[in-house]
Amino acid sequence: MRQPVQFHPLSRAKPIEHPTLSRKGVYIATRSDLGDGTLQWSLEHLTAVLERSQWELQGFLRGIVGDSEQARDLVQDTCYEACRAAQRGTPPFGSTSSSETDMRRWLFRVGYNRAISALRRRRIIHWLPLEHVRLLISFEDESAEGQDVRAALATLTPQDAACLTLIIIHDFTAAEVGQIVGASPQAVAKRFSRAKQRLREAYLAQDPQLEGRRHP
Amino acid sequence: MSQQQPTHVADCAAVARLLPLAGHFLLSADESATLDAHVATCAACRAELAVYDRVEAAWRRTFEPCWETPQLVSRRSMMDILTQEPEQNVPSTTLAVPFTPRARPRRALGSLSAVAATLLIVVLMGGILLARGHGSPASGGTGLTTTIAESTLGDVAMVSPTEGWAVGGSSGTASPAKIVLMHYLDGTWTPVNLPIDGYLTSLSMSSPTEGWAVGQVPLTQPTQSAPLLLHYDGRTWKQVAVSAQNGQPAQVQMLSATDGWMVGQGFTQQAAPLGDIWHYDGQTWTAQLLPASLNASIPLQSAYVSRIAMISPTEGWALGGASSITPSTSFILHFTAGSWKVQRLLTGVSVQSIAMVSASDGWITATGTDNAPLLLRYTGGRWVEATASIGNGGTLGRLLDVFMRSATEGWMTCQARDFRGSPTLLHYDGTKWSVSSLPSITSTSTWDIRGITMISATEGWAVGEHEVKSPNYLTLVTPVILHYHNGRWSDYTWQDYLTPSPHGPSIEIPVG
Repeated sequence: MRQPVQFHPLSRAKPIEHPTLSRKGVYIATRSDLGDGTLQWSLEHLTAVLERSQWELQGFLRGIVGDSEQARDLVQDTCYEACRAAQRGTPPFGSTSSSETDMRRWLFRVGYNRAISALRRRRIIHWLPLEHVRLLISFEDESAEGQDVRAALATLTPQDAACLTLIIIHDFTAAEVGQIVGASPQAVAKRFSRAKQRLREAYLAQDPQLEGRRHP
Repeated sequence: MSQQQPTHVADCAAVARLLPLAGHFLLSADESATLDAHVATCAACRAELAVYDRVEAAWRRTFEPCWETPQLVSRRSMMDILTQEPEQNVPSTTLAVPFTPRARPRRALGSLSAVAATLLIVVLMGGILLARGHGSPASGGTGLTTTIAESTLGDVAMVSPTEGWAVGGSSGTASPAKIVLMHYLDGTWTPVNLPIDGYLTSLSMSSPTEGWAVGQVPLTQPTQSAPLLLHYDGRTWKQVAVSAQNGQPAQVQMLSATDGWMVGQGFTQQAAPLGDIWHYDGQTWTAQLLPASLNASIPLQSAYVSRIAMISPTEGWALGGASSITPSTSFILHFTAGSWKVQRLLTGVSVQSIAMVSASDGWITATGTDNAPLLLRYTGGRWVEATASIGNGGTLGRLLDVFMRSATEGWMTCQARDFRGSPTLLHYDGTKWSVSSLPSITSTSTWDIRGITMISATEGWAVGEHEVKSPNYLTLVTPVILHYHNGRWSDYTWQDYLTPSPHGPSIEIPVG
C-alpha cells in the first residue's frame, strides 16, 4: 500500500496558500493552511519547490564544477536525495516548522557537497594539480565575457566560487552560506572578499583600459 | 590639498579591504559608514568600486539561473518517489545503489522493484566474495562488493601475461573513500580487500614480487591530501609511512626493488615544499630538490611535478608546472649526472604526460594556446612539435595520456568522445597516430580510459571508469577493464570479477 509519509494528502489540504517572497521579490513557495492553525507542506507544494529550485541549483553548481552537463547530473542527484529525505521525514522536509528557506538551504548544501565530492574524485583519479581542476573542462560560453569569467574561475577555489555565487546571485546571507559550505560567517566573508579580488585581478589582466585605471 | 594626500592615501588603504564586501550586508554598521564617507570624497575608490560592480555583474550574467524546459527532474518523477513507501530498512543510499554493469542507464526515477533487485544483487555478490575467503575478517562481503562496484580504476601494471594489478578508489556515496586494488591471475581479476581509506592513482611493479602503489588520503579540506604509499613484497601489501604530512603523489615508477621514483604536489617537509620529486633507494623515500633555476620563472611553492619517465638509474625525464599562474607555465626536467635540470620552460602550455622509449626517443602530450592539442617528440636530442603525426588533431580535443611500448608502437588517450560516449584512443604504428576501435560499453553515458599497459604487441590491458545513471537515479561511477588481444579491445565484464579463481593468491592485509 502506498502511503505518503509526513505529507498531507492534497485532498485534505485547504486551498489557502501563503506565498513567500525572497529578498529579490521572487515568488518562491506556498504552504497550505490545514485550517487548524498549522501549516504543512503538501506533496504538490514540495515538488513545486524542488521544481523551481532546479535551475537555481544548476547555475550554482555550474559555477563550482564548471560543466553544465555535470551540474545537471548533480541537480538530479540532489533532487532525488531530497525526495528520499522527504519520504523518510528527514528535516527540513519532514518538519512542519521548516520554512521554504530551510528547504532551499538544504538543497544548496547537499548540491554543494556532491559537487565538491565530484571535483575531488576528478582531481584525484585523473591526477590534476591542486586548484587546476576546472581548467580542463568544457565551458560552453565562448563569448568574450564568458572567456573572462572562465579565466577568473580558474583562479578561484571551488569554495570561493560557491561563496561568490551564493551571495551575489542567490542572496544568501553570510550565515546561511556558512551553513551550506560548512564555514563560519567570518570565513565566508573572507572567502567572498578573496574571490572578488581575484575576479577583479583576472578582469584587469584582460582589459588594458581598466588596468590603466587601477587604483594607485 | 597636497598636504592632505598622505592621509587620503592612508584612508584608501584602510578602506581597500572593505570595497569587495560592499553591498552584501557583509560589513558592520561602522564599516559601512566609514566606506560610504570615504567613497563620497574619493574618486579613485569610487572607480574601484565600479570595477567590483562590473565584475560582479559579469559573474551574475554567467551563473544566474537559466530557466529552461523541460525540467531536469519532472514533477511526475518526484511525485513517484514521494508516494512510494519509504525504504525504512535501508540504512543508507550506498547499499541501495544498484550496480547493473553495462546496463543501459535510465533517466527515469526508479521503482521499488529496482531497489529490491539491487539489494538482492549486492547480497549475492557479497556472498560469493565471502565464500572465496578473500576478505579480511574485519570486512563484510557486502561492503567490499559495494566498494568495487562503485569505484574507478586509475592504473594497471602487468608482471607477466598471467598476472597483474590494477588500482583505484571507491567513488560512491560511502565516506570515507576506500582504496581499490584488483589482482589478475590466470585469467581472472579479483578484488583484494585492503581496508584503507583513500585512493590509489599509480602503480609500478618492478617484478612479480616487488611493487609500489601510491595515492592519497583526502583530508578535511578538499584541496588537501595526505600521501598514501603501499609496498608489495610478493606476499603482502603494506602501508608505508613517508616523512610528509601533506602531499598528493601523482605517479610512481620503479626501476628495480632498490631504485624508484615518485612525483606529485603539495608535499611539505619542514618549512619548504621540497618533495615534489622523491627517490627510493631500497630503504627510504627521500625528497629531491627541484632545480633552483626554476625559481626564476615559477614560484617553487606553487610548483608541481605530475609525470616521470626514467630510462635508467642515471637518466630520466619529468614534467611539471605551477598552480595559479597565468598564462599556464610548464617545465620539462631532465635527470642526468645525479641531478634534475630544467630542460625547457613552456609558457602558455599545459603538459599532460610523457613516455620515453629510449634515451633518444620519447613523447609528450600537452595542450597549447587556445586549448589546441600539442604533441612533442624527443628526437635528435631535443623536443620538437609532432602534432602533425596525429592528423586532424582539432577533432581530438585535449591529448591526455601517452603509453609507448616500443619506438613503433604506442597508445594515446584523447578528450574527445564519439556519439556513444566512448573516449578516443589513438594507436601509433611507427609512422602516424590513428584512431583505434573501442568496444561499445554504453550508448547513453560516458566512460574513460585512465591507464594502459601492454604485455606484447598483441596483448594488453586498459582500466578506467564508467559514469552511469542508476535506475534509482543516482550517478554511479563503475570500473572499466578492457583487454587488448590480437588487434581488438574487448570489455572485461563485471561477471568476470566474480569468477572464482582456482589459484587465487593468499594475501595478508597488514596495515601500517
